[in-house]
Formats: sequence, C-alpha cells, structure tokens
Amino acid sequence: MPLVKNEVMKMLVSRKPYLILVLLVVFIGLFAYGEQYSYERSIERLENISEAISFNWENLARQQIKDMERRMTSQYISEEGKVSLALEIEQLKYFIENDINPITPSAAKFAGRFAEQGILLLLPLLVIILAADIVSGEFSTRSIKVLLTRAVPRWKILLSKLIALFIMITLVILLSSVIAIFISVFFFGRFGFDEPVITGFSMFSGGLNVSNVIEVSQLEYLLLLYSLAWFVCLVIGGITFMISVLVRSTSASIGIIMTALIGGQFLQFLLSDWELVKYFFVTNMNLPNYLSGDFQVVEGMSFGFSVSVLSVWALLSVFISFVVFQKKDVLV
Amino acid sequence: MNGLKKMAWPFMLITTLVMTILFISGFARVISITGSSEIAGTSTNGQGVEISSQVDKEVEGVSGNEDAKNVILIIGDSIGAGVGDERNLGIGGRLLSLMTFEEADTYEVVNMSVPGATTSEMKANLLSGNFDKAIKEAKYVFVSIGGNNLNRMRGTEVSLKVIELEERLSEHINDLEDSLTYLREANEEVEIVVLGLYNPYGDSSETEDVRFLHEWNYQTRLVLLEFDQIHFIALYDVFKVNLNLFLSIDDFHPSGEGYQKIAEYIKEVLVSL
Repeated sequence: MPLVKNEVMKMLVSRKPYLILVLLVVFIGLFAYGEQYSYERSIERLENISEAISFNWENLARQQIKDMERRMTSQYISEEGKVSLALEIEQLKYFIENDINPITPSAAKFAGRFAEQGILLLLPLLVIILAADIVSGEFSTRSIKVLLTRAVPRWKILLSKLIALFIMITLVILLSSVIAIFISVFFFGRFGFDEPVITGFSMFSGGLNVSNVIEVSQLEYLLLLYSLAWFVCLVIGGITFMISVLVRSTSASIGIIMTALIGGQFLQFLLSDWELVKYFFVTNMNLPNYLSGDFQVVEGMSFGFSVSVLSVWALLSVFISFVVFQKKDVLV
Repeated sequence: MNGLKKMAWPFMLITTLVMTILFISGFARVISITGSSEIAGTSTNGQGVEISSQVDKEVEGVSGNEDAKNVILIIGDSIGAGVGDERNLGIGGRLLSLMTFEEADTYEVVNMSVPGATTSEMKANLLSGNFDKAIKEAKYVFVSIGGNNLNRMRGTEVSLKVIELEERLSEHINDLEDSLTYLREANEEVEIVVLGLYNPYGDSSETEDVRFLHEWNYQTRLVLLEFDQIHFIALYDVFKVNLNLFLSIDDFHPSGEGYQKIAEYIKEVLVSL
C-alpha cells in the first residue's frame, strides 16, 4: 500500500494531472460553446422555415404523438413495436408537460454526448498521458535502478504501478464527468437530470430489435455511459501499460499506442469486411453504440462480444507485462 | 501544503473505491440491458406468430359481418399506412372522401401496411397466409413498397452504390414478383395498384441517386408487365412539381395534400371505381 501511495504521489507531483485537467477544461469548454452555437443556429433555421417568430416545437411534438398513437392502434404492428412507441410517446409527453423543447441542450445531455464521443479518442488519449511513461519513464530517467535495488519483489513494484494507474483512471473519468456537467451547465443553464432517455435497442440480423426498450432517467443513462467509458479506459490503460513495459522510451510507447488507436479507427472502416478486424480492441471500443442501437461497423458484433474482446486484451496485456517485467534484464 | 497532501491520499482512495463500485454497478446494468435483449430477440419469432393469428381473427371479424361492401386492401409500408397525413386518412380515407357519401358507403378500407416494411417483409407477411381472407374479398389492392429498400442505401460508399443497388433491386424485383403472383393466385379478379417511388429529397439529392430512383421505378414497371389488371402510379412526376406542398413536416412522408393527390391519381386510373 505505501508503494501504491508512492506511485500515485509521483503522478500527482508530475505535471500530468494538471495537463489533463487543463485539456479537459479547454476541450469541454469548446464543445459546450459549439453545442450552444449550433443549437441557436438550428433554432434560427427552423424559425426561418416555418416563418414563425418563435419556433413552435410543441405543435410538432403533439403531431408526432398523434401520429404514433394512431400507429399504436394498428393491429399490424408487433407488440414489441408498440412498447417502444409507447415509450417514445411517454418521452415526448414529458417534454410537453415540463415545457422543455426536446432539442434544447442540457448539461446531462451534453455530458452524455461527451462520453459517447470521447470514448473513442479523447478519453483514451488522457489515459495514455497517464500510462505511457509509467514504466518506460523509469528507464528514461534511470530511476529504475533505485526502484529495483530496494528489497521489494519486482511484481510488487509493477502491481503498485498498476493499482496507481487504476486509481488515476477512475479519478480522471470522474473528473471529466464532473467538469463536463459543470461547464455545460454554465452554458445551457440547466441540468436536466430527470429527463427520460430511451435505451435498450439492439441490432440483430440487420433489423432493429425493440423488444427490450426501456426508459431511464438522464442521470442513470449518464452513469451507464461513464461506466462504459471507465471500462474502455481501463482496457486502454492496461494495453498502454504493457507497451510501457515492453518499450524503453516513453515517446516510442506513446507513438505505438497512438498509432494503434488512430490506425484502428481507419482499419474498421476500410476493412470492415475482414473478419479479423472484429478482434482488434479499437473496433470494440464504441460500447455506447450498443445502448443507443446504432449500426455496428462490422456485422455480428454484440455487447457481450465486445466486452469479452476488450477484457481479453486487457488481461493478456497485464499478464504479459508481469511476465516480461519479471524476466527483463535491466541494464542502465 | 503538507496537511493537504496527507488529506488527499485517503480522499482519493475513498473516491476511487466509491466510483469503482458505482461504475461496476453501471456496467452490470448495461450488461443486463443489452444482454437480455439478445435473449428476447430469439423469442420474438414465437410472439410474431401469435400476433398474426390475432390479425387473422380481426380480419375475419371485419369482413364477416359486412358482406356487401367492396374491400380496398392496402398493403406495404408507411405510405400505405398513411404516415404524415395530418388528418390520419391515408390513401384509403382520402380516396373515399373523393366520392359521394352513398358511393363511399359501399367501400371498406382494410389497411395492412406496416411502417418501415421492405419488400421482403411484405412478401413474408403475405405468404404467411394471414391476409388470405382479406385478399380474397378485396376488390382493389393498393401496394406501396420499395421505398425502405432503396432508402436504406443512403450512406453507402459511393463506389459501392452501384453494386449495392443491383443487389437490392434484384431482391426487390423477385420479392415483388412473388408477392404479386401470390395476390393474383389468391384472387383473380382483384385490381392491383402499385405506387411508384417519389423523391423526397428534391433538389438536394445527387444526380446519381435520382438515376437509381428512376432505374428502380423502371424495373418495377417491367415486373408489372407480367400481370393483368395492374396499374402503376408514377408518383415521381406528381411529387416533383410541388414537393414542399406534398411533403409532411418530417420532409419524407407525404402530407395530407400529398395523399390527396395520390388518391386523385388513383381515382383517375381506376375507371371502375
């Protein structure tokens, strides 16, 4: 435990946490501003189209509700379809009752979107900042010698680093959600935590399966999203950790994991026909898609599948790190 | 500063612990949400059968007690269902509104359209035999289908579009042929009206996409050649002129005006109506 504490303190003393903090604040501030801007623009456009002084979303929503209610009475729509329609109606009614335009941005919505988008690149990058030099940095600064000459087994040193990383990742995710919520509430002026969200869509054999659609509050949905982000970041942390053990120079380890991340994004679009792409960790990182029921890049992937692939990658990486670190000759 | 640092460590530990538990519970919830739907997905087949048998009973009930009426059967997708019509009349209702009250009273509209249906889904619905009773009693069948097949192509890589169109089109043609053959065999007298596709994207669509749309309509018309008492409604030309008026607020489905126009067109084509 003192070792873990030592590792965490080392990270805190380095400038990295502050770098992450600044990055988060700058990016989230920019995103929130952009969101606010584009919202105002789209309202303007809608007003122009309907030639009204103020955009009347309520009529539109009521029309949608009427449309859906009529569809519900049709006997030719399956039961599952009716359930999801009923939920959509309920959601719209909530907005009308509370006099909230469904497209008005709220802090909760923004934070959710931030997690959905950030899970692919931004959050992993922050993790990389933390993890890339966790072992290789010791080589670069030659402090590895001091570390290893102490009367502590090597695996304990590595484990303490791993736990420290785990702690830092958890805190970064917490921090990013808190910052996202508070900066955006400054822009949008409202939290909107109790707005209903519909989730539980799933894709199967080309069709949308709506049999399991449920309604949750924005707050709960946020928790779900950030849990997924947390999981993905832990996996990325694990992989970066391994690279950091394998490679001695910090810049090389950053380069490798960045290439894998960004190259992987290309890969899944260019080679979506190729079966093997399914088993690459980057392809499986877009977990929020399974919540919203968006299309999957490669066919035949499910949430369970993606989570297993990611877990295997992470566990294997950590395992390799320990094996290698135990046996590694340290010549400094 | 030193005191602060001492405070920071237990604070961080506790936050981490709490957040870890929170995140794991959230994660477990996601698994339960997405996982259970996979199981449910496999059981939908059984449910589907149940619903269609219920549909069958419903149809029997409808056509059983009112014997003298001419049945207009509408099958297909959301346009058949009348999505977008402010007064919820759809093609059937709008058509009846064009007649005198006495005339309209001799007709009965049975709508079996499923919004979002593709040609293969419509075929599966027909071949399931659940609509047999309605088909046998129908005097007219309106078919609106194909739009969803074509529309799902949007977003496909440009270079792959031609291949994809070919695949989808040949699938559509085969399914349409089978469906129409089935209709004809079930009821030799029935007059069939097939609605062509219009272009809801107007001027903003690419030339390539418009060409695909024409190709689609053209091939659909060729299928109709093999059948008697069948009519094609060229909606493309109708909607091209007054697109804004004929589209509903969703900018995709016809508006009330749009449905009215379709109904007028159908009335002109069907002399016997």
